[in-house]
Amino acid sequence: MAENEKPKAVLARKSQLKDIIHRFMKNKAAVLGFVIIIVLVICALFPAQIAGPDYTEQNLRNRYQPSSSEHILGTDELGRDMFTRIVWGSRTSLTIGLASIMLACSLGVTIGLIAGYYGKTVDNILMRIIDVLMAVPNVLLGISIVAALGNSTRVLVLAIGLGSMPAFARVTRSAVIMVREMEYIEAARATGASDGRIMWKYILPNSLAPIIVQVSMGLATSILTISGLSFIGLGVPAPTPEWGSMLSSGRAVIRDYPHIILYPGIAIMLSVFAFNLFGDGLRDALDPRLKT
Amino acid sequence: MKKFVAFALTLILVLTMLSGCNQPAPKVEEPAKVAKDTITLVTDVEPDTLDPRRGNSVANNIPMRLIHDSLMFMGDDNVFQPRLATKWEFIDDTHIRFTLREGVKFSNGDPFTSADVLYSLARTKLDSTSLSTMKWYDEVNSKAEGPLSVVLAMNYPYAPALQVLCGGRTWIGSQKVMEAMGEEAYARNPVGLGPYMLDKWTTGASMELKRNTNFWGEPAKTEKLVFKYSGEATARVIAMETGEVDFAYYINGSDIKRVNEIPGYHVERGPSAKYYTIVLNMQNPKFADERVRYALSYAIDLEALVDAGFDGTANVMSSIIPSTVEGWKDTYGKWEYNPEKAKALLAEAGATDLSFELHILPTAEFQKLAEIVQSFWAKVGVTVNIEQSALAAREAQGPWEASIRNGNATEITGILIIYDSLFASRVGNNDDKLDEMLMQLQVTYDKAEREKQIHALQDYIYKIRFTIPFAETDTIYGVGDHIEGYEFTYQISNCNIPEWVAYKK
Repeated sequence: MAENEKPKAVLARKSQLKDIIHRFMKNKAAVLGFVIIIVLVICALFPAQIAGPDYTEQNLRNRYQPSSSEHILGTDELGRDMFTRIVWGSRTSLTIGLASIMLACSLGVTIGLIAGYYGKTVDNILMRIIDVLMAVPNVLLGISIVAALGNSTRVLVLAIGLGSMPAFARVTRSAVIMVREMEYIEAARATGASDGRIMWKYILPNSLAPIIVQVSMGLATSILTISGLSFIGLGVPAPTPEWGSMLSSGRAVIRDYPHIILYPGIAIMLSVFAFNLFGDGLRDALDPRLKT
Repeated sequence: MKKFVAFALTLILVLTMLSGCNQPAPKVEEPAKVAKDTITLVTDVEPDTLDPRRGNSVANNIPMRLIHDSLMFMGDDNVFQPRLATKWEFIDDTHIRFTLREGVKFSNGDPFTSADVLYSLARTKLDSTSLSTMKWYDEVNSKAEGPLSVVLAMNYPYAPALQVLCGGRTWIGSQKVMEAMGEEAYARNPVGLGPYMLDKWTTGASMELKRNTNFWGEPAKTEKLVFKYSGEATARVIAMETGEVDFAYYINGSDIKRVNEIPGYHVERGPSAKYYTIVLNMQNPKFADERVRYALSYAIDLEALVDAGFDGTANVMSSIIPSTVEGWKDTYGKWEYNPEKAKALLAEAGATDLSFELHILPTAEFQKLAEIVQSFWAKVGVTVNIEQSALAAREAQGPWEASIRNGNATEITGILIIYDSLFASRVGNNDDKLDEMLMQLQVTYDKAEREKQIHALQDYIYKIRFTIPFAETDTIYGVGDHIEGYEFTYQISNCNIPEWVAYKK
């Protein structure tokens, strides 16, 4: 009997995944977002092959050049190729974005899981701490941390990760509160499973949907925060290309050479737009209420 | 008869017409020029204080020169002019007697006396930002010889003393009001001796000044001044385009054409006292070998750096001081750009994997300069990590390894002060000979001898290469054509604003 049921469960899970993919593919905006993300990821993985290896090469006598066959997106204020720097910039934004979201996710999910599962005093204490963190705007927290510890990639990951963490804690806690009341959790408790096992083995896998959506949305916010910090000179140190610092360096000549801020601006907008569309699509695909 | 009458009438008609042609055209009276009662100016940075002892930046000194006054004044011609002091004489090498102007009153009507001079200078001496500038001043032995005579004492002979007394950190404030109000309140509501007085200061937005009716000299020609603040050069140009301001400080090179094309405005441009230098911290063993310092200077194409860094509004320095300063001489013509020589020297010095921090202030201009320098040094195998942070924040973490700095001093000792070993947070000088030369210059009054020493210092600092001075920038103002009385000065805070009249357009 049990042997016959296992394939059925597997089949059901496969069918559920198929449904999710099907629902996602039906959402054209989400697919567009996904395609842009794929392009961004390819740029981030193979920038040297796409745009050339040297993003620092300056030609000071060839500054502010408009688009040409030699420089597809023109050159910047130091005569560097804009296309090369924008492609390499995708690596910076995605790397810091992903790393900070992983940090935020691991801390936030753990806190949310514990708060949601234990409830009462534990929940109260943890959530008040999260409330305090949420009261500080992300960019302000980022500025404070970077100002205190200096601007390096690691510090940026920490600054943005800590800023994004409360959202993960809240989302996870809400999902856990719903799941912990399910019958299968009671059953697990009845069989003598430990709290840790129940949390990690039964509750977390069933609370993943909103967390996955939060990852996508959080990435969009992280990219904006990185750009914001770089814009005010607290981002990745030069000469590493970053879209926000490219915007900043072009603002003095915005009216004479608009291409210097136009292309990095488009890159930021497209990536944020893509992650938001993708996140929205995922939420719609994962939300079981849509089944009805 | 009829013919005669017709002829006479025709003649009269023709003569009348002809006489009409001879009459002058009725006068179209030009509209009389109407002077505005307010001139609006825009600059980049808002002052952080109006405390008379804190005139240590151009941003502070722009309004301070209008609100406060000093014992004497030195303009672009480097000639001392009397202000609050009408006469001065050296009693000996360490004592100067000043005769103060009679009938001078503070903006609140209180009389100005020698006590205010002694009190103000003693306050400046105690200020942490002025320790190096005022270390010569002996406040204990300085004394009043009456309400309008004062003798200033020095701890040692100090030749630039008179220049220091021309304002900046040595504005004269009111002892009575300062003691009554407290320093903090006074810094926001100063009572001064200048042609204008503070009317309203809205932090983050604007500062309004009004004419000081108690001013001892020629009254300011315009009743009110409004200073607006905008960090973005583009926004300052837009303020001229919209007619929001009459005058703008700090126009970017890339905006010169645009400003000249705005109807009713034009650019005024000339040399300045502002210069940029790469500073190597000599306390750091990485720069101990002279060959390394030479290599770092050979590796940079200064012409390309200055052209790209300032969009054609700066010149490459050919000495360690700007050309507007006393005693300047073309020391080296042009720095040699020779990356191959740089590589060879680094190899010879065993510094092929040289890596260090280059600290800069958090502005786009410094970022651009640092990236260019970083790229040049990378080509000879030197790795530079650009550290961008506020000065105070970086200094709190200890000395930096190398930095790009700018200065805006017109007085030679003020420029050379960074090489003084006591001024450790900049060059961190460890060269006794340089210290001795600097001290010698400070105590030399004879003009010809001073010039000789300044020349020798320029040669010596060029030889030891603790710094790589690279650019002296232009002063660029955007000026409304409707402003009358404007005169160009390269000392930004010395603009002759009290003499301006702006007419309605």
